[in-house]
Formats: sequence, structure tokens, C-alpha cells
Amino acid sequence: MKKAIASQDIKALQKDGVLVVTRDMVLTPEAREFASKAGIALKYSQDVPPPAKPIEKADLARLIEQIVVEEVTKATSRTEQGPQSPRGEVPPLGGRGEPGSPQGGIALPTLLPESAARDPGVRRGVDADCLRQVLNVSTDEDTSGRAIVTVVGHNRPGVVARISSAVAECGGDLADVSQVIIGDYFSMIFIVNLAGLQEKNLSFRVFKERLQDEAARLGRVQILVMHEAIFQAMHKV
Amino acid sequence: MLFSMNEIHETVRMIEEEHLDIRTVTLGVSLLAAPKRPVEALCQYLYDHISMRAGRLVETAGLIEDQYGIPIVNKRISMTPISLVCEGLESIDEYVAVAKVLDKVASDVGVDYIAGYSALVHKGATSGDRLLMDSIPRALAATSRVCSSVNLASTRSGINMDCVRDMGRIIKELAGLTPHASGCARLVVFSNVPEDNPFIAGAFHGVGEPDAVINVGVSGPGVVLAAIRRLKKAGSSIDLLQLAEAIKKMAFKITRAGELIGREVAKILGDPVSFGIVDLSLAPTPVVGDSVADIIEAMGIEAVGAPGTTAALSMLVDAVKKGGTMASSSVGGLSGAFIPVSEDAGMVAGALRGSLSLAKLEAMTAVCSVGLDMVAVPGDTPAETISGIIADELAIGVVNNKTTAVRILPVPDTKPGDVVDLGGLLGQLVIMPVPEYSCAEFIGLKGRIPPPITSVKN
Repeated sequence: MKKAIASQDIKALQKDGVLVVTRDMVLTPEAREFASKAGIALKYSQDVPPPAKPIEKADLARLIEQIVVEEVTKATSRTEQGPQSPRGEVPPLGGRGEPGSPQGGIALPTLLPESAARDPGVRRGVDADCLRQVLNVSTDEDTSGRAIVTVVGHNRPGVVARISSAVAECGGDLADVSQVIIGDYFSMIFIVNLAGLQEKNLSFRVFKERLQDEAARLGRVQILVMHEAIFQAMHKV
Repeated sequence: MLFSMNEIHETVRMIEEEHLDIRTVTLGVSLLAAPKRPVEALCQYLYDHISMRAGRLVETAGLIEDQYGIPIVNKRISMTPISLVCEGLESIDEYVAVAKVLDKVASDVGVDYIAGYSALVHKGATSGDRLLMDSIPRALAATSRVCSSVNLASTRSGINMDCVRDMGRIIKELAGLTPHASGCARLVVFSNVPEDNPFIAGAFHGVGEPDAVINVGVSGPGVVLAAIRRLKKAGSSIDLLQLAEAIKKMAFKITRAGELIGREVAKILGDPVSFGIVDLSLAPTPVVGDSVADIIEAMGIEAVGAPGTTAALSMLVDAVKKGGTMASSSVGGLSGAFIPVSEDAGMVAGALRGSLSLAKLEAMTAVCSVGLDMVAVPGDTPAETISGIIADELAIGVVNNKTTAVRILPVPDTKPGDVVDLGGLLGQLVIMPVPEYSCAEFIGLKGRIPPPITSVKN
């Protein structure tokens, strides 16, 4: 779950006028505006969070044992007159490690190494895979193809310049621009080539947030950044 | 330009204003390799295996959501039916322990629901199936993310009335153990259950499926509604073919978006996860304007439930299917339109004003994709009557060779017309009146209703 960052969080989290935005943070639009008004620079961290870490093996074993013992002993006390539960004699928590436990059930502590030994290779392989894939996500996967950037809002001088320089800063290349101005309002669509993002080692997400940041600074402007594949899928047969 | 301004604006409008979203990305996980006993080893395997497969599901869905700008509302896990995995356990308590471990792993990997606490008993129940069914009230009351389903009938085998009778009792029992019978929202009974359905509560990972698979459920009643309204605004006289055409085009676009998201998530999760299917059901949410009932009303029915509703719904469902199958060769699951009463603001309004009755809903389920979904009845409804409602619904599915289901909530201490708010996507329950005449004698008959003649096809 990502953490939502509101204006007051920015005050608390910033250090010397700089806030490092990690991948598990989502800034609210108000927070962005607050940051730009207060002159707090937003720095986007490239750190990839480690994949969700399963709970420690020993802790888990304890927990499972606790759940099973709890359920089964509860049952024993419920059905004291006629013990139908086959595990009626489960000893209290922590007592299952002794050899010769009832029903010949394998005690948990010895079970652990056994289950680990069953497929140690698989687990190691998966971890390495995870890592490689996560790295891929932030470099190759995201930044192939083009992005469609839609900007709608109140017209004012410098909008195009500000957005397009933000695009250029990230290494994006404007492939096409189209705009309509009606009275005080404008609607603009940029098609941005993303190949350059890779050279700067930026992910799609950082690119998107950088543009959203710029829009917040401009004020009264809404910006949407989407990968072209979604339009390709929906409109081209 | 690569895309026209119109195309780009259309997509942006669909997402920003018309609530287009991906309702669920569901990771199906096979658990067939689990050790049967002791129960500790089984639990350990379930925890390890599911967390290994699904550890990055939520994070990956977040990345894809960012990249394509389409919200993914739910991330879920579906499992091999637990009755198959746990056959061999010997007491209800052990089943409840398994459910608790599943709840724990779901919460640790951050998914919204984990489904597949299920049994397939359409022809008969094994002793393990029976234990699982009997454990459902305690298992669901002790957990918050575990979802359960039981397949009670199929066109090939008929209706297992012994289990239909049991489920009436089990549903009542569960209703009493959870506040406002909310646990019953996580329990569904089926006929002809599909093996690749990504939607909760009926999802499970079928035995014909690979190790791990991503199935996607799209949403989008709001988009279809807006298309119909635009069409009506534009032309003074529209005919039914134009209406069907407009729905088909929207269904096409929604399905394509769903397939793209599913393929991308599966690609990032990597081997052995593959892309499975898009379920192109129109799934409403309690948000106003994201409602299947509103679509029916936009088609010219004054209030959902009025005469003409079933015909309008059948046309809607058919057009959605045609648009969807044109868009993707991987269409599966339930595919059509859901009519969960509490989750659809228009249906809630219909139930409140009395235009929508249980009988009309039952007729509508003959043409939509699922069945009596999220229907609330008074808590003092007898268990046999609930079994009777289930049997009626399953008969529609069995005879018409389609999936039907019942997700019913007998809310204790309520009377018809009361409203109970469950919050979130589950919405508002309106307690509907149930006919007071009894079917207890019929439900008391033992055995199985034989399959219809249409089942003899080979």
C-alpha cells in the first residue's frame, strides 16, 4: 500500500527544503501545490523497494502452530463429552517439538528444515528473478514507446514552454503536438518519445510525477500522462 | 498525429468522467502440490507458496496503473478449491485454521480478497467437501478477506438438493455470526461455475488451469451509459440496432484495455505466470452513474424492474458479449453484466421504490451473466426458503446451460424495506420481501434433481 502524503506530512518529512519522494509515496495535488508555494524541492528517489518480504520463517511457524492449536484445543474443550477431534491431545503451545508427540505428527521445528530442503533451489531462483524483474521494470519495460500527455486548463503565457522543458529535462522528445484554445482555456496533447528516458535512467513513473509536479506549479492546469499502448489497444484494430 | 484528438479525448473522458476502471486483477494460484498433512505442514506450504507467487502482485499492479492511467480497483488471489487441497483433514477446526492462515497471507501480501475456500459438489459431496461446507460459517466469521463458493449444480449432473438444503442452513448460520450478515457477501453458491472467473466471491483457480495465471475483470457501466445518452442526444430517432452498435463499440474498447493490463501484469510477474482471460462483465459500483440499472433506464424503461427490463438487459448483455469477443480471443469467466443489488445505486433505488422485486430479479438472471447477487432478505426467513430461492436460481442455470449464482444476505432483526449500509464497494442493502409460503416439504426431499435432457449431448 502506498502512503498518501498531504501538506502537513511534507512539512514534517522535508529536510533543508528538499523532500525525497520514494516509490511508496503518493503526493496529493494539494501537497504538490503546497510544496511549490513553500519552495520545497521534490526529489524523486530511484530506489526500488524490495519485494514484499514474507514474514520470518520461525515467526510464521509459531503463528501457524498457534492458530492450529487454538482452533483444535478450543474444539477439544467444546466437545469434551465425546472427543471427535483426532488431535484431541494436542499439548499446549510450544510443546509440540518433543519427540513422540501424539498421533506421530511431525513436530514443527523439524518440519521447517525439511520443507526448506524440499525446494531450496526454487526459492533462491525466484528471489533472483524477482530482483531482476523489478530492476527491468524501472529501466527497460517502462520507457519503450511513447507517452501521450494531455494538458487541460486555464491559459497563460509560458504553459507550453514549461511543460515542454520539463519533458526535455527528463530526456523525452516531443514527437507531435496539437492544441486548441477556446477563450481563456486550452487543451493540448503532446506525444512524447520515451527512448531518451533510458539514458537518464528514469522510469515512466518518475517522468509522470515530474510533469504532474510542473502542472501543480503552474496551477489551474490538469495533466494526464499515459503510455500510448492503452490508446493503441482501445482505438486501433 | 498518431491518434486523433477525438480518440485521445475519448479515452481520457472514459477514465476521468465515466468511471472506466479495471475492477480486478486476480492472480490464480495452483495449490495442488500442497502436502495433505499434518495440518501445520499444509498451512506452512499455503503461506509460503501464496506469498511467493503473489508477493509482487500489488506492487506490479500499481506500476501498470501508473503507466496506463487506468485505476485498478482490486487486487485479488484465487486458489485451487480448498476442498481439493485439504481433502484428508479430519475436523472442522483444522479447516478453520487453514482459513485463518489464508487470511493472514492475504493481508501480508496486501491483496483485497483471497478466494477459493470452495467445494465442487454438483453431483455429490466427499467427506472433505462436507467438512469444508460445515466450516464455512466459522471460517468466514473468523476472517475478513477469505471468500468462499460452493458449486451445487451443473447442466451435466443436475442439482444436488442435499447440499442445497445444507447451504440454506449454513447461510443462515453465517448471517448470525457476522454483523449485518456481512459475511454472507463473501459466500456464493453456483450452478455451472466457471473455472477462470476473476470476480469475488466466486473466484477459484480451476483444476484445468496452469500453475499461475492473471485474469482480469473489467468494469465500465458508466462508459456504456454515457455512450447511450450521447446517442440519444445526437439523433432524434434511434433504432435498436444503433443502440446495440453503440454498446458493442464501447464493450470492444473496454475489453481491449482490460486485455492490455492483464498481459502487462503477467509479463512483469514473469514465468510461470501467464495471462489467462478477460472477464468482460459490466460490474457496477455504488457510485452514481456507474450502474447497470441506469443503463436499462437510459434504454427507455421508466424504472428498473418494470416490464421490458428483461428484454433490455438481454440486449445489453448480448451486445457486450459481441463487442468483447471481437476485441479479444481470451474472453472467459462470467462475461455479461452483473446485477448485484446493493452494489448498484440504480438497483438500490429500484428496490426502495418497489419497482424491483425478488421475482423480477430472478427473471433478469435468466439473461444476465450471474444471478441473484447481493440480495438482502429479512433475518427470520426460514433456511428452507433460502434453499428454495437457491434451487430456483440454479434450475435456471442448469436448464439454460449457463452459470447462475446466489449471494443472499438474511440480515437479522430486519423487515422488508429496511436499509443497511455495508459501506465501500458492497453498498447499501435494501431488505426485500420474500413470499411467505413454504417449500419446506420439497426441500426436505433427499437426493439430486436429475440433469435435463439437453445435457445428453455426446
